[in-house]
Amino acid sequence: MDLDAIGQYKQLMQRYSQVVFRVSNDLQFWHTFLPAAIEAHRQIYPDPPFYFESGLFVYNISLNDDPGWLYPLQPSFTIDEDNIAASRVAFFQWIQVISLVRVYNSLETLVYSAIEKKYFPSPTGKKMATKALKTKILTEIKAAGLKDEINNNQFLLTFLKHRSTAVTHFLRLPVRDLPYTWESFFIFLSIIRHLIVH
Amino acid sequence: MLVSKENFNNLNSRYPLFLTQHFRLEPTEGGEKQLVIEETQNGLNNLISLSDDFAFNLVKFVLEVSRIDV
Repeated sequence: MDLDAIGQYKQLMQRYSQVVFRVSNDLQFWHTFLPAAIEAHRQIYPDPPFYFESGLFVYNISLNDDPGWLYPLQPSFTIDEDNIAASRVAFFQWIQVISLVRVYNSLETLVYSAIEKKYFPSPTGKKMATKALKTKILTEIKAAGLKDEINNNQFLLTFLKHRSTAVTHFLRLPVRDLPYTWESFFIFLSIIRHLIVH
Repeated sequence: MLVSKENFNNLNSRYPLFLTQHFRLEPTEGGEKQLVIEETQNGLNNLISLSDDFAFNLVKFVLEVSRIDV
């Protein structure tokens, strides 16, 4: 058993887990707690006029350097008894979408870091800039005559399959009981992340 | 997230099960289509769980760690 590899493994997974486990826990807790908190609030204040109200204002600067006056851009925003349930659902929808980006970014960082540790280790232990690492990976892919597809980070998997039969084996394994491979899962998640960000 | 018909069809033709297990398509107020993470089926938790499996095993295979003692 390679103790150094295990140490590296634990270090990489710890960084990933710190973000993803936190995201998962935060979402699960607040998703459960918030409806209960709203209900508890209703018990204390059975007929509130509203829960929250806000307006969107900007400084309307004139063309002659006048510092401007606050200008209302939209009608005010209100959360009241009629829309609090829908507002909570909408809130979690965008939080979940942003959370997915965080999860994917952690996964992407993990893949980069694993490649660096295994194939481009620094003698000083100093972490390489991602841009430099990406250039090294793409250079090797091109030199091997492989497709340097940067969309959805497919080049990372191309590189790993080029370097490792073990990783190739893993990426071709099915995802649980689904008719997809782990490679297709990563690409699917990459496409979803791309849709969210762009 | 807003999604074009082209992007949706692309995803749906390649990964229909991944898509339907974790997302649903619904109209926005402006009449566009958006992908929403499926809450009733625990879409995000399931995606995170798959991501954990992918991360745990990919790195194991890359670093060629045969046994994990944690």
